[in-house]
Amino acid sequence: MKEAMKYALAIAITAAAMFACMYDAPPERAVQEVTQKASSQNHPSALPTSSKQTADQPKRELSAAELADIDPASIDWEAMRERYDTNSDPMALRWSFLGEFTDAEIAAFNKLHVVPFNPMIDQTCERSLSGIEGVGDADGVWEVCTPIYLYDEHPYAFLSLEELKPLAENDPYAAELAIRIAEDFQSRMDYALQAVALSGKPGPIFEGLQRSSLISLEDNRDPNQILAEVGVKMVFQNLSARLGDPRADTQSLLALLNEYLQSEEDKKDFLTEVQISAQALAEQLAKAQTEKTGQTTIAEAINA
Amino acid sequence: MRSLLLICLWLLTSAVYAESCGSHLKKTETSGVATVECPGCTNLNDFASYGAAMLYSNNQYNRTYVTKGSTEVEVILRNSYRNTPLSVGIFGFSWNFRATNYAERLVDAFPRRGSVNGAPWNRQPVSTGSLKAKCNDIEKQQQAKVQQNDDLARLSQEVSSRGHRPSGDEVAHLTGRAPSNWFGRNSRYNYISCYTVWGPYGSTTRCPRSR
Repeated sequence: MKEAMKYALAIAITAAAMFACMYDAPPERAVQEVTQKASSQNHPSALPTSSKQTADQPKRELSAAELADIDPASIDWEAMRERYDTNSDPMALRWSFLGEFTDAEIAAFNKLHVVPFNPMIDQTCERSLSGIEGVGDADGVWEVCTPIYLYDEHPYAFLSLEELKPLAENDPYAAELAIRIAEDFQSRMDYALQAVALSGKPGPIFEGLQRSSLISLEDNRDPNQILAEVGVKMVFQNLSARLGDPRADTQSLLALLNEYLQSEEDKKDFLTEVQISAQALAEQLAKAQTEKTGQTTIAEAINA
Repeated sequence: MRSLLLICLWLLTSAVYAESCGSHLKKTETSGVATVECPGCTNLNDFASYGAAMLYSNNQYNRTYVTKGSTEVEVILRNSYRNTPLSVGIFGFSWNFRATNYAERLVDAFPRRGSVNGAPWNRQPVSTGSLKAKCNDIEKQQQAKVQQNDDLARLSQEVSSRGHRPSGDEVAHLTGRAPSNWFGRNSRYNYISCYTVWGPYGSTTRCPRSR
């Protein structure tokens, strides 16, 4: 009897293993994708909506007055990012072609930024030969969609960096647009700071950071150089948080810091230096804002 | 004996990995995200297929930022799933089991900064065969670049040891590949522009005349 049970157990285990191999059951997220794909099959830009987002979203549409009065901190920005399954912030990168951004998210985003978010209201999709070997369906056909946006692009959006540069001295709109095409980290963040000083809105710093390359951790890189880059990014993240941007992520680089600085004392010194630099930068910004625009919103934010 | 076999397998996989195009991906501050430069990319399709091929050959990462100058494109490689005939129903709900479609992957490619021509890729299906082929192309281009650098190093060493620029025929002799008649009548050439072309039947190094 005991032998028979062993035999049955062995068969059950083998069958279970075969089942697992044959069907390669997808992870939870994949199953979710499957269930949602059916409703979005004719809408290639539509991406799966996470259950968290659906639960967090308001059940009713907000009135114009409520949208105008929205607090950006009331938005679950993390859930928005998760919805599109990306580490990047799709709104800061202006990926409006992804669609399905809520009115509340757009209103909150516009409170933080100078250049408003231009949502996609429709799109025209056409199926054609991709012309790239192996890309598309079995016949090499793919679907390319052209978004139709709510607003026409601002004329500044078509200017070169050389043309935007003088405008950005006094116009925060031009300064924020220049962030998109600036050629390196330093000039990108310079434009971001100009846009913040001229508008009093913190969003351009977040957009500048989002549009910046990640720090390369190649084995042959000098650790001090990596730490310097970590420090600079942390200062900007810290500044963004001080100015009241709820999307500022001051924790993301801490793990990297732990990897490169073993001693607790070194880490403490490093973080203190970040705080001091961020405060100094914020004070400079407040001064620049008052000189340029007569406003004091930045000073009020950092002293709050 | 088993450990010997394991070592052999490890050596074999290490060698394969070292030669795959994905080994050019550079680790970044965010886990699972890499960066890579694509000097030859011009439009969004180039960025997308370049990044996807690299990600396919290096499963350490599932997304990469492909850069060229001030332009940067985020490329994401996702698994593709296909329906299986198996479905399970309980209390009125039913699930269709899906299996990974190993014949293709889904690719996203969106510009992050700078301007680049072309429509973004939103979960475009790409056959794994073409990803492998693209990876091989990239690897060959990388090897050609290394070869070109080696040739240039040899030439510059020769130039410095003799104190004068070598003639076109000498360049051909030194590289051992370029026929002398490629340099034209007056032999005015820029040897820095030598490049190696990889075709289906091997490679040739060319040092075309400067304009």
